[in-house]
Amino acid sequence: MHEFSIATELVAAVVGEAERHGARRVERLECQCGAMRQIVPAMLIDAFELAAVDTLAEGAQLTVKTVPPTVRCRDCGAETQPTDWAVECPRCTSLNIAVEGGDELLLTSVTLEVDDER
Amino acid sequence: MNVEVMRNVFARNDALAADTRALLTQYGIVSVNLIGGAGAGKTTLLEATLPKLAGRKRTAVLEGDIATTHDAERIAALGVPAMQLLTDGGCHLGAALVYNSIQKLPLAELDLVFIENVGNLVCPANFDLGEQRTVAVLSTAEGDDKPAKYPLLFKRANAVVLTKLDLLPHVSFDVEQCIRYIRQLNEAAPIFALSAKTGDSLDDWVTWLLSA
Ligand SMILES: Nc1nc2c(ncn2[C@@H]2O[C@H](COP(=O)(O)OP(=O)(O)OP(=O)(O)O)[C@@H](O)[C@H]2O)c(=O)[nH]1
Ligand SMILES: [Mg+2]
Ligand SMILES: [Zn+2]
Repeated sequence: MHEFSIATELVAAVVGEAERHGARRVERLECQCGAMRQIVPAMLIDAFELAAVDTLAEGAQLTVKTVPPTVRCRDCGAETQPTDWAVECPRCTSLNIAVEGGDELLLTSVTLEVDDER
Repeated sequence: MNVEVMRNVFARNDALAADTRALLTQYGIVSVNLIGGAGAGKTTLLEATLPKLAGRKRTAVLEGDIATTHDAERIAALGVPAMQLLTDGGCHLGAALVYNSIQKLPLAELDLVFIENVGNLVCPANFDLGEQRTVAVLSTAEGDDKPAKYPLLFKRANAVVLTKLDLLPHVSFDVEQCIRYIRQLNEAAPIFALSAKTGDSLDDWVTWLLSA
């Protein structure tokens, strides 16, 4: 259940954005999770809901986008972006691959409710 | 109001980690964050390593645990200053706890500070503690596929210690296969296969620490 420790950091990050813009509350947010973080989106969403209670992000709707890594085969040269976690080349099944990227964890978009919109 | 951002989710933690790193650098201290599963052998590795550093590096240990002061007591028994950091159920150490604790150490009198993270292959991999070197500790009792299952840690690691090598005759652990999985994620990190219990093959690891 590492989703909870990540959710706590996500709440801090989004509340930081909300405060910076003097917002009343956070309506929606979107984050990009590299597949290497092994985050189960539904679990992160549940954990976020709990961690956000009593903050500006309480009730905010979270969307999680999973970003695949790039797998480069050192044997056949294939470059693929498997959606599932891969330990072999999807083309030639070699284990001699290099896994690149897929370790990002970014808050990419925030929708805020601010006073002057009311 | 919609705001497009590109904000690292761990910005709060990473800012404190940067403060820790700056403070340690100012004192010329190198810190090493040991991350591995529960019971992998992190404390035993320290017990075998610290006496070999005696007289060459002035060391201290921050012991992260969910509960009990057992590990700090084991280190203190060696005559090395040890501080127990309890997370009260938390599954990883965070930069804030380390930043606050590290200031209680006699920094001017230290060269090398080890931080033993809470036994867990998943959560600690997400949190920078401000260390100069991240070390993944994996034991032969855990299975050779662990790097493939817990990629983030092995990607982040500056070195991998493969410990409990003395158990190889009793477990089905393919060292070559394990190294292959590590190299999928990390081409550069040195891999030290050793036994903390028998003290076998510790030399390369100790040399690496001395030059860190
Ligand atoms: N055979 C063998 N046993 C070892 C070795 N290293 C550690 N052990 C044993 O493994 C068990 C766990 O060792 P610890 O050093 O306490 O493991 P740890 O990673 O610090 O554990 P936590 O801090 O609780 O996560 C103990 O029973 C050790 O004696 C080794 O190299 N060989
Ligand atoms: Mg321990
Ligand atoms: Zn291939």
